[in-house]
Amino acid sequence: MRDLLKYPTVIYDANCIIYYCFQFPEHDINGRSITVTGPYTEKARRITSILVRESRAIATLRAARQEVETVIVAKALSALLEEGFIQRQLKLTGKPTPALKLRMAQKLKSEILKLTKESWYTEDRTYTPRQDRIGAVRASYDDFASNPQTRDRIPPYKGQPSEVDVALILYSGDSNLPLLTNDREIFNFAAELAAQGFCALIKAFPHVSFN
Amino acid sequence: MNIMCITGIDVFPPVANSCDLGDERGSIASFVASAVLTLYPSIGSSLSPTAAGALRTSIILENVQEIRPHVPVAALCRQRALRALDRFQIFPQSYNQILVRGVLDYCQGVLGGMADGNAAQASLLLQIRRLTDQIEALWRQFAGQQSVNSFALLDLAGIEDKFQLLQDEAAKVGVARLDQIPTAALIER
Repeated sequence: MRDLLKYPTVIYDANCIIYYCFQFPEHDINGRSITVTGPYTEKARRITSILVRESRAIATLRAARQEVETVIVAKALSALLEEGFIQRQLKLTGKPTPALKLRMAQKLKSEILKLTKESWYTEDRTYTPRQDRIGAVRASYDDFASNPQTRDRIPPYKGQPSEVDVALILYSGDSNLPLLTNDREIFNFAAELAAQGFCALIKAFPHVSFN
Repeated sequence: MNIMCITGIDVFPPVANSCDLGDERGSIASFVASAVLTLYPSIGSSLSPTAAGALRTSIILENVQEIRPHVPVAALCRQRALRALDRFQIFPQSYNQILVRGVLDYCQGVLGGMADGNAAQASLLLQIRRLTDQIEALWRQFAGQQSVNSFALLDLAGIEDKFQLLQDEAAKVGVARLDQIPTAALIER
């Protein structure tokens, strides 16, 4: 946490946003009120509460938040349902119907809305990275993929980061703020991306410790 | 005109068949049924009470799916909702996909418990029908391989709003809103 606390604001990627938000009220199969929680929610909330307690802010790009609302919510929900993670919490004995999935997705969207109303949350609506800088990041990833010393660090079935991820990397550089991410494709190349001046700091979500 | 061959119970079989396919001829059927009843009101009185009830429901629905009384309107609407539900399954994962499938699933559940000819539920049936139409139109628009991904980026606030209104209407006739349905009843059998 100490490296993150050196900055006034920490940028969250789309995954960190959904981890924070993945907590909503529901009823289990027996009708008892419970709180459904994602596997990384506790850690994301703990990181956030420390940052907020220390008067730090959380920021992201509008495009990242929109990505969470349009796609990541659905992917996270579907993945946790496929893994049986949510079924266990709800004590479900079968597959949830599309209607139940919608009910949960709507609650997740409400949590995202709650986050956007927090005083410590900011969203950059106007940032657009320069095209030449986007091209430079992409060229670096081409190099990572072709270089035998770095290509093993590219996760399976991955290659170039998404448009939003490239924007977040460059936003970190342009705003001189750290980017918290759970995307291996990004944090596996944290040193190289920082050395090339694309970002201020890339912090891997799994590597955040509270000591 | 062929449409003049209305005989008691079996009304417009060719049109009814076309509506079973869920194509645009459904709206033609609606127009024809409305026109016939306007021009020849005596037809209504010549039908059996069951057939007349079914015909009235059909007119209320505006888009006549099927006006043969032995094929319930709610059941046909449910078939369409289930078909659309299935069609959207192959769309890439997105909130919009979850939204339309969830709405259709809720609607088919409501339709499953609905009795035809129940005047109190006619308005709910109409709302379900209109929402299903709108969602089917989305499917036709985005089912092509090129545009399926852009479906995720569509602003479907209109559908969410209509779904809220539909649930308000459902609550009026004692049908549970999605939020009130016990989780145990929302598991696939």
